Amino acid sequence: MAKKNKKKVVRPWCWYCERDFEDEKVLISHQRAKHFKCNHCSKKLNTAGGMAVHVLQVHKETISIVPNAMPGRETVDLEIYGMEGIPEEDLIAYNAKQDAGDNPASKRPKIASAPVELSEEELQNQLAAHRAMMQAAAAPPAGPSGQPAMAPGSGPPPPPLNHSPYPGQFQYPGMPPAAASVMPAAYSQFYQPRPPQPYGMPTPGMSHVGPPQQFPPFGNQMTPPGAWPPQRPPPGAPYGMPPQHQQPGFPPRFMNGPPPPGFVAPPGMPPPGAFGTQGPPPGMPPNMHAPGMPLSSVPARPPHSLVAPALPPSGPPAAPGQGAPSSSTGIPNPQLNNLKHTLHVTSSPDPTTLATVGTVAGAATTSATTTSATPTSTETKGAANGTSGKKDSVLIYANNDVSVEEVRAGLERYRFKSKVESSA
Amino acid sequence: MMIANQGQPKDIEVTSPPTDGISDLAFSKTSDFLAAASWSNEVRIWEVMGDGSTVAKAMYSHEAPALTCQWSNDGTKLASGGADNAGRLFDVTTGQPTQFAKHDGPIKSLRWIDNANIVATGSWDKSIKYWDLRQQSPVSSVALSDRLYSMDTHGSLLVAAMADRQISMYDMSQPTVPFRAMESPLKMQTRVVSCFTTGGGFAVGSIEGRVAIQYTDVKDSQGNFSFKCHRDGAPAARDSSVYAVNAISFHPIFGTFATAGSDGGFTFWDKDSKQKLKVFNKQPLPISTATFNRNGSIYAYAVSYDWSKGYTGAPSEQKNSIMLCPVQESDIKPRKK
Repeated sequence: MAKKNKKKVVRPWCWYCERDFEDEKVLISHQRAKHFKCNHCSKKLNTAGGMAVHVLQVHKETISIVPNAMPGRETVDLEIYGMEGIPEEDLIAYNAKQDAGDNPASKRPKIASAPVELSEEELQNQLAAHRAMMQAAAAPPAGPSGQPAMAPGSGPPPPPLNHSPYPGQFQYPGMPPAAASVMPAAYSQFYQPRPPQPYGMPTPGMSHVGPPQQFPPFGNQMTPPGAWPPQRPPPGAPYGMPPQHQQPGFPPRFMNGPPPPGFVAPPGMPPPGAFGTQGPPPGMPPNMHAPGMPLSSVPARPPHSLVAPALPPSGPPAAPGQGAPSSSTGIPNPQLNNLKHTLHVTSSPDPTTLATVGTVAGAATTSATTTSATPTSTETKGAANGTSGKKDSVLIYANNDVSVEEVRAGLERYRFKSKVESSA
Repeated sequence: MMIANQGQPKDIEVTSPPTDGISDLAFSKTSDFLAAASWSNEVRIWEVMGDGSTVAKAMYSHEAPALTCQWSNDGTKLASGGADNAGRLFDVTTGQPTQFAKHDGPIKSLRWIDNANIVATGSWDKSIKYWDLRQQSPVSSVALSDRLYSMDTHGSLLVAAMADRQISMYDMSQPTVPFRAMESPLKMQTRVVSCFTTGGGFAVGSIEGRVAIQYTDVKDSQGNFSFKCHRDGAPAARDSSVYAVNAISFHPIFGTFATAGSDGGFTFWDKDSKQKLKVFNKQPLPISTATFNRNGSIYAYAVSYDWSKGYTGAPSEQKNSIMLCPVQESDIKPRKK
């Protein structure tokens, strides 16, 4: 369906890393955070050239390549800002790829006979929905809340979730909750419920999914958030994997094996205790981070790297711009704030510790105070402002609402028992 | 005599340290007495001798962890506040503690007001109360926007930092109405505020390894700046661990300052030339609080777990110590830009 492209708008995409985004604002903030960010001082510039000049003047160093860029797209000479400045040939090549990606998918339904066709479509729909969910779920920043939700939901090709939340949520930063709920739905729904579907997925043959290359065909639940670079076109029609989505192959797709520690491969998802019990499982950290916090080194990496195969560029940094709060757009701060406080993300995840941390995802702020007896120490990225937004740095004490002394003073042994001499 | 088992070889460990975490340290302005408030409910006092050795002198208890202490300007009394919601006064001459203040919540910080026999106590009950020691009730009370997390004074300036990241500045000529209130320049929870010993401003430290230098006068706001500190790895590194700044102490003479953090390290800085003066080796545990003595020749720091990693992060063995670092003038003197 060649017409398809004309019908829908091409999503803005980043020339440096060939990822696409919901809208240009998101794209620009992605570029600023991933490609135009100074390595020394984390200052975010507006263009590659601007960054080069800054690094030269302030840090007295010359840079020759754009960070996190695909090979062949690393030049600092081109002035790319959002979608402006992209050389025509690359534009054409990209669009062609989009079309090509859609075609195989559209082919399938035609091949199948009527009854079969339906199911294939269904599969495609599910795939696309799943993909979307994955993307949504993947967005690390949003991760925390999403994850817990995901876990339970993701299990088996789940029962209808009502996609509705999902389309809207898709902007990658903030998806998690949506993603979570979406996940199950993805499978069972056809997408029809998905109202806004940018791509009009519901139709059979969803071919028009987003950048084909980004999405590994997957049928699976999205798997642990964080694995996915944000912005995967949500509705991305299944790449035509219809048959695949059920396959065990999925998990590998997304996450290279088990999702971050604590994550179970999509099919069963959610590391059993992790979500259900409390807080994010060790693996979660990446996702759970509060606004854009980069996750602790260990856990965070795997998910990100998982995404890597799908994404052409960058490994960890790819973690989709989520790492730095500033980079990811739209991460719903309130969500994140809730989570980050009680996140207990440590490089050596300790389930017991996590348990004591208390509910993280979702409980958030209040949990910090209510579970005062439990340690609220977390190692989450606490980058509240752009300058401290190191993707992977870990804030040892991240609870912004309660001080360490208040937590400690709340413990039984330190509590003030009036009229009684309490011994330490 | 050196009992240097922690920190640099030259640092001296104080004898008979408290048996639980140390929340505050205070040197007397008139003598070489050192006081420490502790989570063991006790407030301990030592005399620091010329060679750096310490002699335990006195001790008294609150009914819950003691969180703050400060000597009076004439050095005859020590005021302390704690989680028992009480402010206690220890008179060195009588050796007896009495209660002089009461709040509805733990007293997190207290300060003597210069030129007045008044102690200001700040509490998690969202208020600061001014107490004339001869009276039972506070002279006045100031409502705060949130729990008080840190407070410091210098001359007639009192700076209070709250849990909602608000910072209020008061002039003691009008102690109940802040002459300026602002949001902290740091984006994360305020951990400590400390006034310049040279007047005119204060430093703010947060849980996110960052310190902001802030001038009280809006006219001087050009000079405000902030910097990162107490992080593992290079400050701009992508995967550094970010620790809280637990204490900021200004040198009484030079106006330079020291920061101490949850990472167990302490560093001397010069805010005027914006330079790091000296970094000291890290201690095995966080430095929960620190202070200079009256002439800046000794920097005392407490090495004890600050709960930054919660209950589970607590070391299996309780190890709390107070170290005295003899300050080399070359390390703390301001430097040219």
